[in-house]
Amino acid sequence: MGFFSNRKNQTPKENLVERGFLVFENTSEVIRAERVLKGNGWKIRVKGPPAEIRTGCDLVIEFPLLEELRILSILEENGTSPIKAVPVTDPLLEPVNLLKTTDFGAFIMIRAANMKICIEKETDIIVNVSGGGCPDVPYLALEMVGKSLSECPNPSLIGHTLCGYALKLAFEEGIRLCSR
Amino acid sequence: MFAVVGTVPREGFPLVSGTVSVNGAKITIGDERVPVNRGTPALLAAFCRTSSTLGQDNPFAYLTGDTGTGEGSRKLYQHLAQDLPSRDFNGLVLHYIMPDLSGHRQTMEAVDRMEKHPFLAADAGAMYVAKMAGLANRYDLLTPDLGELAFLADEAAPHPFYTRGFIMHEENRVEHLIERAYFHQNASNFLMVKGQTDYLADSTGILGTVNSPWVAALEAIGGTGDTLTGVVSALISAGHDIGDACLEAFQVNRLAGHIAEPDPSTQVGRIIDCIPEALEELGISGGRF
Amino acid sequence: MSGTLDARGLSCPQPVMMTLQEIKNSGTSEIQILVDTDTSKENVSRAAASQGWEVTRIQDTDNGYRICIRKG
Repeated sequence: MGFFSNRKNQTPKENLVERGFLVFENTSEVIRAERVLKGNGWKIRVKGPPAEIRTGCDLVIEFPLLEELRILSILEENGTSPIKAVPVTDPLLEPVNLLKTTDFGAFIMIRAANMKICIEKETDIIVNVSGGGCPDVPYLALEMVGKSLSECPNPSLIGHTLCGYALKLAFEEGIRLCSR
Repeated sequence: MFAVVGTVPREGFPLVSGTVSVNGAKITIGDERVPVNRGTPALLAAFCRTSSTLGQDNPFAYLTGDTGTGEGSRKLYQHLAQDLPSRDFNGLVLHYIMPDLSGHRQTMEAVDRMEKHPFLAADAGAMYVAKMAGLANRYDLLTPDLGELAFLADEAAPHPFYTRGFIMHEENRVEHLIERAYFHQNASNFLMVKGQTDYLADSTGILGTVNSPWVAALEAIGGTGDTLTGVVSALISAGHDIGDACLEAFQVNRLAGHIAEPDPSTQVGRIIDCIPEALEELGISGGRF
Repeated sequence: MSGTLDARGLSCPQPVMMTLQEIKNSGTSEIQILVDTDTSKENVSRAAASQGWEVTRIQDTDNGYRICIRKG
């Protein structure tokens, strides 16, 4: 109710670096997404977007940035994907646009942002996962190494973090390259 | 004694602490045995193999299970906040843990209450949260790869995934990235930058480089950064001067990789097994007290 | 005709890669693979099945498993 209750609900400044905005096509998408995420137990906040990312829709969802992968996966499952996800502290920041392939002869290594996946060409077996620092990385590696690209779970199904998201990008590029 | 803080990729693995030992392909802590694989177990195994070759103590560790939900990490942060102030560790190495600002702040506050301020190092998720919190310059050592150096250099980036393009693409201008990281106070007393050439730097610039042997396959092998952090921590724990320990660790890690004759499918355990031979070949021995 | 592969002490994916190599090159119709982790047991079994081989038996040993596979 007015100015003072809004002030109480603001995220402490120091924690803004951990938060991101989800930007949607329109307001009803925001409302559906809010329902999905709150229903899955996420601590999110619907608010007005900063000027830099105003697209016409008056609302964005503020969410825990590091858990972007899990959140985007749940929204995709529910048919409510955002247009983009950006950090609160600098909404003009884009995800690292870095996909690089290294040929090791019998193996191919694909790097996406800070994650790398290595695949044996002849068998499509994932032989190594490297990079990253979030706790889902060793878990994803355990679930993926030793499996072929077709048998392996997509990291978006079992990962949680931005590192997991980067691994998903590397994995999907691996599928694209190895299916040629 | 040094303490290492990290996670294992098993949800439900209990929060345990104690001195670690390595037996074959597993590390032992309390009643728990954990396979040596990429992540904190690889760091600990590398530390133990280095320490035992030097005739020094194994590390203490705090470990918990976390597959990315952050729940285990939150309990670990809470435990550290309560346990650290009464400890007299010479060093604290923070590793795979969910980046969480409030948990990291509580841990730093607990470190401040320790009677003797320990040597502080961070790698992996702990390094990410140190920078996010604006506290990278409270650390004695961070060990980024080139992409992570770009993240440290980008004062706006909250995580390596969001490093700005014009900075990411300067990975071949390492000196410039190091300068930028220090300028914005997002670097530790010493920086070990891992890559085709390894760099040791401080706020004055590059102090040394190591670029051989170069084994291309190592870039594909998960855990080779973890072993580097394990080796350097063990050398510093043994009393080696920090700058010397960093350059020695680069050499040991590379040489162990070379001795292992890896291909991109080799797993990090094979490289860890070659650490003792690498230390002997380089003539690195004993404590330096 | 059958051969035995000893993949104990090797981390994934080495046991899988050894099995696939043996399937491709050995000309035998039965292979036994020794592994010492649950992950390797599952991955080797899956890899064999993907090549049309049948897992006929998995036997517990003192320090792992013996996986018996037969050409389908």
